[in-house]
Amino acid sequence: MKISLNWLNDFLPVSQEEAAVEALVHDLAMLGFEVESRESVRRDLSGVIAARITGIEPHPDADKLRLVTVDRGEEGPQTVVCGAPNVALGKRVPYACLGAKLPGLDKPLKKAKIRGVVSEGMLCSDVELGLSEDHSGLLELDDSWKAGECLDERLGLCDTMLDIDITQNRGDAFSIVGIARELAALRGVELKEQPRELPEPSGEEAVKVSIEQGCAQTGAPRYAGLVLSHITVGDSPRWLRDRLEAVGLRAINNVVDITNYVMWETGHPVHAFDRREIRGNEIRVRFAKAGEAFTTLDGQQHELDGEHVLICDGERPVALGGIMGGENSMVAEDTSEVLLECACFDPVNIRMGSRRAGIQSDSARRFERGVDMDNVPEVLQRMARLMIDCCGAQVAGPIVDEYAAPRQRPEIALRPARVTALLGLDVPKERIVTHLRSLGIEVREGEGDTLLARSPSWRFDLEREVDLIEEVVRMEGYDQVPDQLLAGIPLDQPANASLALRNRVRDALVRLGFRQQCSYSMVSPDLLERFHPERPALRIRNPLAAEMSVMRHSLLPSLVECAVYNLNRSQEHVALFEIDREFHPDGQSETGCREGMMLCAVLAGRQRGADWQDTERRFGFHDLKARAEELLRELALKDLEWSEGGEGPWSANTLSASRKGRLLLQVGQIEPRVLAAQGCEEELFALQLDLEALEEIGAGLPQYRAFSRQPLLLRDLSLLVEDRHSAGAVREVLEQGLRKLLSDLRLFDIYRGEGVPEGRHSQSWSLSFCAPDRNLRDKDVDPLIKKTLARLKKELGVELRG
Amino acid sequence: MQEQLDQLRTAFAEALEAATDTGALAAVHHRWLGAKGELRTLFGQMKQLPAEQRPAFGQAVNALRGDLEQAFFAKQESLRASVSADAIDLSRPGPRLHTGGLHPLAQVQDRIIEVFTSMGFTVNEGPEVETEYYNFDALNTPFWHPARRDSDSLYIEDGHMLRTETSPVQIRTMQKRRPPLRMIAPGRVYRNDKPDATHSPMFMQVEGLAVGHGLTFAELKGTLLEFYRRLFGRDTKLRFRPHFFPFTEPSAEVDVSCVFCRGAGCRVCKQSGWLEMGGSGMVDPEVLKEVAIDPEEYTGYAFGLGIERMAMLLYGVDDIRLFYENDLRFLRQF
Ligand SMILES: [Zn+2]
Repeated sequence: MKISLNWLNDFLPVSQEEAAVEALVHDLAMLGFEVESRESVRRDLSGVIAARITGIEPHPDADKLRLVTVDRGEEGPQTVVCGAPNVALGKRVPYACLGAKLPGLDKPLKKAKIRGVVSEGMLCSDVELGLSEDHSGLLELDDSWKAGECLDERLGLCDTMLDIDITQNRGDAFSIVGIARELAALRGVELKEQPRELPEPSGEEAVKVSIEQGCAQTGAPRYAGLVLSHITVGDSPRWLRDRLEAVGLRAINNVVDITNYVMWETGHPVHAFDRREIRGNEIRVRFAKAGEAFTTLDGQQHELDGEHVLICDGERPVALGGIMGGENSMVAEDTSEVLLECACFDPVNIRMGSRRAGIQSDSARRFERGVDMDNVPEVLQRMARLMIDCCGAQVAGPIVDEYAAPRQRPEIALRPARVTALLGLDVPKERIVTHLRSLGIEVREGEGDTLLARSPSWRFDLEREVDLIEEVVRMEGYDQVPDQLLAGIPLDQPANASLALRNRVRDALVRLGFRQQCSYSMVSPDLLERFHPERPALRIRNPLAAEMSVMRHSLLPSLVECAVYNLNRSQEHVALFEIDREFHPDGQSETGCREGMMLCAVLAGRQRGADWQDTERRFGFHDLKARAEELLRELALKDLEWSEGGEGPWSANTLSASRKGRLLLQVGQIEPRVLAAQGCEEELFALQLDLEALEEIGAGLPQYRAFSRQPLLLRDLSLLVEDRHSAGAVREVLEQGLRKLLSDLRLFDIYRGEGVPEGRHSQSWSLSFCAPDRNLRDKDVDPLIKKTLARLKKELGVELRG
Repeated sequence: MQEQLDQLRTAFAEALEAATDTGALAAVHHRWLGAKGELRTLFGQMKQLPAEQRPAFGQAVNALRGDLEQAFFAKQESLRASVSADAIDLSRPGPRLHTGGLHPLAQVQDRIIEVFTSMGFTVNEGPEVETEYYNFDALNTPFWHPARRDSDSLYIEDGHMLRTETSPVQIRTMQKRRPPLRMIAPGRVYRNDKPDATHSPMFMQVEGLAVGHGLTFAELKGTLLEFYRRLFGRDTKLRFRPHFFPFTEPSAEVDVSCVFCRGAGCRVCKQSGWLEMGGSGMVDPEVLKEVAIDPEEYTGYAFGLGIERMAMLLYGVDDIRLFYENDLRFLRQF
């Protein structure tokens, strides 16, 4: 909400000095009202005086220009060139002296030669004075202005606007007076009253008011009206328009402006009906009928339901209660009598009602947070007073006030000891009482040490002891609360084992050279569909965009998307992982969803780029396999059942590991056609580890195995292997046959071509042997190798290459 | 005499030939061309010669010196050249390393967890797809509250929702564990916010909750102050401002002194000297009652802090979207 410091100054002394404004912003912040922005407005009219037109001559060289002589009071007469149409003898108009800095001009005013005639100074319209955009003619000053009188004193402006964030619970502060009340309480000053005394009514003009049974409790508990006559609808006075415009309201006419002014000032939305349109001389407040149509004053037609409150005259609805007036009864240019409305509406009814009708109005915004129900007569008086002053109105009759369901404000018990116990801040009882009273809370002594407090009529958020404690600390100052570090919570609290395991996996991935990514859980349904068309997805009812409309049931698409994003940006080495949740619809779960923790990692692009030492190499399946094996070693996972081949997005080049039938790990190449649909031409390899399965299986700690400190005996074997046999099969036989002395083996070459028969290839294995207790010699390993070669020949037809 | 000169010339040539490093070369210089070298000695012998022979001898020795010096410098040059041919070019770039790394948000989350666990907080988690009960009702949020609107929260088609805060974990924790307890719950939360430099429809929060005998607003303040001091430095200051949250009373907005200007005022803190970090307060009695904890016996405090906010301040990141774009040029910087 925007407030003007000039306006606030009506209620308590406020300075526009920089330091004072700083202090005010700080005070508001410490009261719980954050100032979101701040703006100064300055309209300096110090070089402009009122002048009376005493002579008008034609310009010798221009039809549309005239030479106007004005009386400037003590300064004497002066003749200027003027082109305005509304020049007339005797009129009082603004005259700007040479050197004046006009709000509507870029530079100080200089002597000018206009069509050959020198003009010293100028007569001004609204535009030059920065008063409005009206450039139809000179600003006409009324007869109260004396020639020579400086305009600055009456039309100048120096103001600061604050845009204040009002929290949902503080409807009472949604007004100038509300903010003033808070500041006055903090600063210990009295609030000034605004004029609202009215003359005796000139007659008995009144409209009968009734609130329908049932509507008072949950719709409109109070409705009051007052009839004013002799209204002249026109422009509001400058000061009023300035204030409305300053807080972002558009000036319309004096009657409407005053209703807006009163709303902004008091926080109580009010309305003015054209009395001519109130048929049957009565107001009936009732709930709308379901489906009833009504056109609000903005010209929009709305279909209402049985919970909207309608303000009706003897024949028809004239306003949508608390939300907006009706088009049929709005004030017109020729309106001379008005019915002023000041009513109260149920906050929740207005909040839900305006939401259902799709109307946001300043009125609804206030009623939905709670509006003082006890200030109705005062608000009507204030509004009438302003209309008497600005519209020539007369009070035509008494205030008719129907307060059908008065608000109850029960007393709240407050134990001073509880204040200290909750805050950790010692506030003596007398100070508690002072603080509460400064906020308008009535306080009296209760039984024992207890205080009994009653909230003021404008507060809707004080119902419990704890609410009062917050008021105490707010007045005492949040910065008075000490900072303490207490023990008192035992340390034997449960550790989070899944987080620890997740971090272990995560740190292993980082060591293996993967970068962690963090991507949105909401993804495009098309993306998921490409990878896992068989899986159902959780759909968001009100998504921000189609590409964020489902919850991902697989991390893989996000990883691929991110890899492609980076490859497309010339990032050649892509090694990414993410550990997060996958969302699966689950009717059995109370949230309708099963959330599973998953690790997904991808490799794509160059494992190594070319440089002056090495040639480039692209990632292949085995690069990922090596990393997967290392991960399994770190997690000490054994006894896994391995299988080859994949489905869905996983190509045939995929290895899967399960334990007891539960899929734990997949390592493989992603189907090129799935990638192509994703705009990816590269080969991409992915690893997926089900962390929930891992938690169930239980990762272990690596167990130490003694190693021999004897020197190694090295042997290389080149084997001719039929193409139908894999390296894995050969390796298995080698390991089995040599296990007594084998320490390690490595496949260092695969060769096809010259010297190798068709249908076969050569595998070169490097073997290292050792014994725990002695230095090995050839004679120790030769028989073993011979036996194993024989076994290789028998089982796989493998021969030693010559 | 000429013979003596020839001998010297030969000996010098052999020594020069044999010298293969700068040390040996220096020794050669010292022996023949140095201040007390053999050439000097030859010059010294000149005095013993008859006067008429002296000029011819002098000329011969000078010529010899010229030859020796020329040979010496040539050798020195060639030695230098051969040395640098074998040396490695230190200015060549090493091969590019491809290291792994944690996402910056994970690194900040790790620090948060480390600080709070050292203060006796446990780490809890809860579902991201939540019921309205846990996300709103149990947290004392009335049915009409604006946060429940479609324009603020994201709902699943079946009526459940994406949690808008990590606060539902408070309820789930208190349902399982009785006080005294102290926990934090980091995790993803979701809002119906269009992404821009400071908003993201998904972001990370860390929830905190402590319930026990005699916990106070002052302890909340002390705990958060200690946390921020460990995160941003010991001279960090903390400010509480009144605010409103349905699930705490009293509630406080948490500001810390600007980490850039240390409170003097700068562009980042909009000249205020303070940075807004999150919300906190004493657990509302209604929330405690909802999980059958007697608010007369126990009190508690809670807070919810934005992790991105901390990461942006710690690493100088000025656009929240960078965290979720996963551009390697961004990720590699952490
Ligand atoms: Zn700063």
